[in-house]
Amino acid sequence: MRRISRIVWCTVATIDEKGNPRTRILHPIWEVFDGKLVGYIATGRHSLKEKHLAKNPWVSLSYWDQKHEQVYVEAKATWSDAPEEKQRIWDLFKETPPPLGYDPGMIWREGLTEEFGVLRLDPWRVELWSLEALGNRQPPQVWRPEVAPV
Amino acid sequence: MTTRMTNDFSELETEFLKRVARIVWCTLATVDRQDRPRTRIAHPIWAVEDGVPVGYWSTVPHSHKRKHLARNPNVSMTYWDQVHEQIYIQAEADWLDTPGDRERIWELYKQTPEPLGYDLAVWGFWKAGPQGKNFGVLRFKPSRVELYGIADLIAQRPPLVWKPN
Repeated sequence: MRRISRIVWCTVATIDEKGNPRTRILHPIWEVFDGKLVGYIATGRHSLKEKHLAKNPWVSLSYWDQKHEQVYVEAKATWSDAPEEKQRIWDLFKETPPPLGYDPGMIWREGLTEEFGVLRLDPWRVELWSLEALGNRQPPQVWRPEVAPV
Repeated sequence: MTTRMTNDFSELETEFLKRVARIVWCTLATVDRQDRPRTRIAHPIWAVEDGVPVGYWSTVPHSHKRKHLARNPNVSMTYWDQVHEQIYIQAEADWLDTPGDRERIWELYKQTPEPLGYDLAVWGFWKAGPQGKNFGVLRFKPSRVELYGIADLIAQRPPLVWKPN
């Protein structure tokens, strides 16, 4: 959580319709429920990545900055379409202190419409790694949930 | 989103090399054996050869990514830092295994100014040098390079995209 709050932006990889990887920069927010990590990305609907995820829901995220403290997250992505859940995530972004939080109303000027999509991320693997650990020959720290998404 | 397209890499070259030299590290995505994307941080060096960009990455050859690339050689790379000047690259990867290529890329890292270049021998696992069994060179041949950033977003300027002829 410390690393994510500092780095904020991560690279998100999806698999395109030809089966090849594609990457872009996105800005997820994370919560821990009952010891389980869940991520949310506020994003426009009808994007290229929506097409990719319809065919292949798996994503790979990496957080990196010049301090070389990486976070790698492997997850399954699903759209959260319930209005109350979308409202909750809208408020979560708005109420989280910046730079991690921001007011989605700056981007979705018409407010919470169909165009505001919430992509939920359920991780099956989280890895913390750093240049310092490599120098000290420490292995990466890896977490996996008891029940992985299928 | 619309893009500004070109087949002439010289339109991107200066800005591309400036961003690579500053950011140095990128995220490299491959496809795993279960068709899921996987990412890691990579540190390639780029050259412009016959007017097209070519990337070289010194890496450990016996890794997950070797298995991934054997099945699907296509990779996707993103350069990003807090300045928000991105580079997105789609490329095909192959291994360069000849002694001459290994020596050439080892020297390319050594001769390129820091922080992009450095002496690879600082790593214990490469103390055997360019011909050691732990040293491998991946080459990246891009099919698409995109420059985009927060300045473009604010100016409502579409991304600048290069594709080879």
